[in-house]
Amino acid sequence: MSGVAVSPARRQNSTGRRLTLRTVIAVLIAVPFIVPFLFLIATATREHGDYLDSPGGWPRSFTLDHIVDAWQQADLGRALVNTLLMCLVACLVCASTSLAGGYFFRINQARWTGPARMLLGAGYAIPMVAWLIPVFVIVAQAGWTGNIYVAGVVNGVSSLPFGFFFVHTFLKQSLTDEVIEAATLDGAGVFRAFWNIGIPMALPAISAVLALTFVWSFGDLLVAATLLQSNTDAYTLPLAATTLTTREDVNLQGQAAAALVSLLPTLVVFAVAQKALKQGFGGGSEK
Amino acid sequence: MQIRRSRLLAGLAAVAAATLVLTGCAGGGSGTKSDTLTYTDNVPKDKVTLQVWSFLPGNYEGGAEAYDKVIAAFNEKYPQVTIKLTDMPYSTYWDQLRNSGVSRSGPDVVTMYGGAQAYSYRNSLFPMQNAMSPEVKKDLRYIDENYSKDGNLYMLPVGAYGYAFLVNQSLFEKAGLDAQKSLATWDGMLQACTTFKEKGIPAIASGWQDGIQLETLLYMISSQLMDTETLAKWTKGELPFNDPLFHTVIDRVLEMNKAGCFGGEEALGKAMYNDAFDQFDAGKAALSLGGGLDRAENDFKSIPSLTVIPMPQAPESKHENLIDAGADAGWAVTKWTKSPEAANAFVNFLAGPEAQQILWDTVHVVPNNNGVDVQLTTPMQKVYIPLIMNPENHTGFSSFSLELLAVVERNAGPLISGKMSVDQFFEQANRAYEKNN
Amino acid sequence: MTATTTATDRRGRGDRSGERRPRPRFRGGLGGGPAAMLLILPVIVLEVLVLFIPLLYIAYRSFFDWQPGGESTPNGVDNYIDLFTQSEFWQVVGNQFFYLLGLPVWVIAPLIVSFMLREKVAGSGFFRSVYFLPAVMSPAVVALLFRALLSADGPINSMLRGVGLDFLAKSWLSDETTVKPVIIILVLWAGFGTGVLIFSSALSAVPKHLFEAARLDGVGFWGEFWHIAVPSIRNAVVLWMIFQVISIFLFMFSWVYVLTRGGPGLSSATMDFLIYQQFMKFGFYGTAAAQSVVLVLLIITVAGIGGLVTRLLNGKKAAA
Repeated sequence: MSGVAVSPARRQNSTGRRLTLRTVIAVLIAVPFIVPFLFLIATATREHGDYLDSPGGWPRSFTLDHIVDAWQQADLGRALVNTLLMCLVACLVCASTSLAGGYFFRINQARWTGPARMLLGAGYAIPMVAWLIPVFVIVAQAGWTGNIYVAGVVNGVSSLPFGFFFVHTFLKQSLTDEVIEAATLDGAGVFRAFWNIGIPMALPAISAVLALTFVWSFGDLLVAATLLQSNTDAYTLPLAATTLTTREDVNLQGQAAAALVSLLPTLVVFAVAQKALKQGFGGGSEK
Repeated sequence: MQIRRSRLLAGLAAVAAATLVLTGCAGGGSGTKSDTLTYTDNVPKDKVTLQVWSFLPGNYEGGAEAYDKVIAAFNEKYPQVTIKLTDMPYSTYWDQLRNSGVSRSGPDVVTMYGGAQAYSYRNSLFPMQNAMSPEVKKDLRYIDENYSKDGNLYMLPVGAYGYAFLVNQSLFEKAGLDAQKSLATWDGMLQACTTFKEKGIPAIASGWQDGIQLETLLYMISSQLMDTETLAKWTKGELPFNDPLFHTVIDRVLEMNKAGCFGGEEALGKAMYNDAFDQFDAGKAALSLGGGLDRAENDFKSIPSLTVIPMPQAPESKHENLIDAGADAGWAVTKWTKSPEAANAFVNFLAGPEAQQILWDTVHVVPNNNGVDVQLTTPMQKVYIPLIMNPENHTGFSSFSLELLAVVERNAGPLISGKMSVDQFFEQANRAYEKNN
Repeated sequence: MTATTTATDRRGRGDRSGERRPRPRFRGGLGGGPAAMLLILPVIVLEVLVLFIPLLYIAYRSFFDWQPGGESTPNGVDNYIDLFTQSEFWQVVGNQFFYLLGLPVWVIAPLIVSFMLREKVAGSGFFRSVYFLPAVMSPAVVALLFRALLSADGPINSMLRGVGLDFLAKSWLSDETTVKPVIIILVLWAGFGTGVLIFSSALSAVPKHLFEAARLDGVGFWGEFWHIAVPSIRNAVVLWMIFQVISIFLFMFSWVYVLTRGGPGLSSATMDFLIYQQFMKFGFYGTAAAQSVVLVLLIITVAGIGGLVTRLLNGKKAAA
């Protein structure tokens, strides 16, 4: 047995012991996650003088000034709305096409689908810099720069290979042949089956894809900076946050404040989607 | 999903246009046919809008309003030209500029550094050596050293900076030193560093992680060691980085390190931006490398004993009182602009005395146009401006190629800590230099 | 290995045992005929337009001295030769493979913890949320924070000195022997919560009776873990592994750039960092294009080798 302290305690029959030990370990593991988070909050809420005095030290002050300043200077309110809209588009694009694609690969087992699935999944392995620049040229020529909906579509497509692959993996486990056959028994076409069975059965996986696409699109800077260019009205939160850094001043406190503002919506979405995420990855075979 | 026909056609047209651009067949896309820009007083009377990209307004408190004033003044002369100035975030600016260069679209006028930086954007910019108005040509400083190595001037230099020491005199007193005396000579500076080290006070607030400090010292000392001919050679790309001149520079930097000027190991993990600056602002270091008047003014608020003193001349210096000073930034006209005359007029206006006067009066942007009346009002200005305006000054800053700077930046830490030998440093640096020359 | 029964296996075995159903090009009632292709059409169209054609374009341009807006002269494989003769390139490739060494810990750590959290832990949902915090914090800001945390006079070193471990306190990110291992740990930190989530969900779908049966046999924590849990969620483990491999090559940029700028020297640089520098900073478009192509090929090769190895191991397991 490996030298983990769990083992000997586990041998004992007392459930109370086991409970405490695992919980203790979980708490210990949680410490390196909570500390940087607290550090972020501290950096964002310390008075500037206090921060300068000991950037890595204990906070001795508290102020909401940085958050307020960041909100006003970088127009974070508008940026937040832009980001939510953009993420909505990204999620719709990614979820709908992933759903359809994942379902297709579930029902079609022809030999060519295996390699096709690998190839389409390999789209995830293309560095963003490589595909974004030509895409940007097309967008620029069409006069569509500064458009958050276009940015949303591009963000959606960037998660697409992961999305459909994941839905397919899920459906492989949870959607049995019998159920599909039952749906098509009375001669109902593929789309009817998709609507009646495919979508409901894939809902947990789709919730997962939605949540992850949301989180990834929310935090994206590259697509936003490239496609939104100089249209400051359309800036998303990460891009708006970069305006707080000037040539002369990195402004870590401002950045931390903006990061806190970004954190809240994503945390909310994540909390809501946590349950669905669990079901999504789990294959839902128990339900 | 019904796609309206007009949208579909627009999309197809876009793909076609993009294909032309990407395959280089369109030869630069829509825009002027001529490859050069010549100054003309005749700006067409048609109404045009110019997109202007810059990160400069965000640099200063009240910068946006100041630039609005400049634009208003410009419009008095050219009411038909609407200026849309966007304050771009600095950290993404250069990337976004690259992108617009590939797509041949976007801004008409951009903020641009000269020399090597402009050269790397040369496919996007108009050569401006024939595009200066006679007044600008006469009164503008720092033109020569902003030429790129292909003999073109891709931007008009605007604004001025000068590297010197920001000095916390009270810390000098605490160490029993007189700042002016210590910094009058090179050896005096080294002595002061050693004294500070003994007293446990950081001498020069330092951070090597981003490598900018090594770059700055490189500029400061090499400018001292270069005379006018050498600088001309360097601008043309005829001075290799392996030249004894640069070896001397690095030797002097390492000498400063040995004397304890830069602190110890803790500086390795810090970055100049902003850790070192923060350290000085908190009153924890005696000196800081400063380039801009605005920083001196800001720091003066929290450090009442602040003054500005030039770095002493190294023993090999060819000058008496030179500091590394040059253009703060510059403005350029993009090749795909639909209104090159209007754009050029705007750039010339920005370089001209009226615009620079407004910027000086409202936000104290140091001008590089001799036609500006510079009234010195604050203590920092009275000390700093004469240092910057010294006609002895020059800099080779803009001719350091970006690849060379990348090598300098990433090897700053290893070089200072001794993990990388001087020979290895120059081998890598010169290789990067040769790549471009 | 009865625990590995899944719907997939049942169907697979059903096929091989020679069910009477014929095997047309589209499987009859399930395949739905040509109309079903409409389902996959959006995926194909979007990926081809946005991902594959741009990649092909970049590959095309990698054979040029690509100067957008200027003269782009074809220069054959010069860009590639240039790339392969640069010692910097090989150093960075070496970095990438060094980072790959972290793969076992990135997979096993969340695996063990999610198994541990499965039962007998108060508030497991809370812990999973806490572990997920890094995923919702922007890498740029987090990297700045960690730089502060790890600096020579930062909190971590202060803590080490506080408990008497002075000799360990150092400038973690400025020492080329420690910078890569530190980044491996940070990548573990960043991906841990997502991994725990994935594995927790996968585990929650495993029938409980499998674990109970094993427990009656008295296999213990590790027995349950290695012999029941891991095989049951094989798909999720493989998915996570592939995801992490791709992350090494594609998603480290914002981390590395802010944390160390690829330093000291190039000891922590990644390929996408090099590509960014070539493209954006220097404007060496042709070289950057060549590098992008090489990166894609590298990822495919590594993933392919990984896939082969996994299949071999699975084959061995099935035979055992």
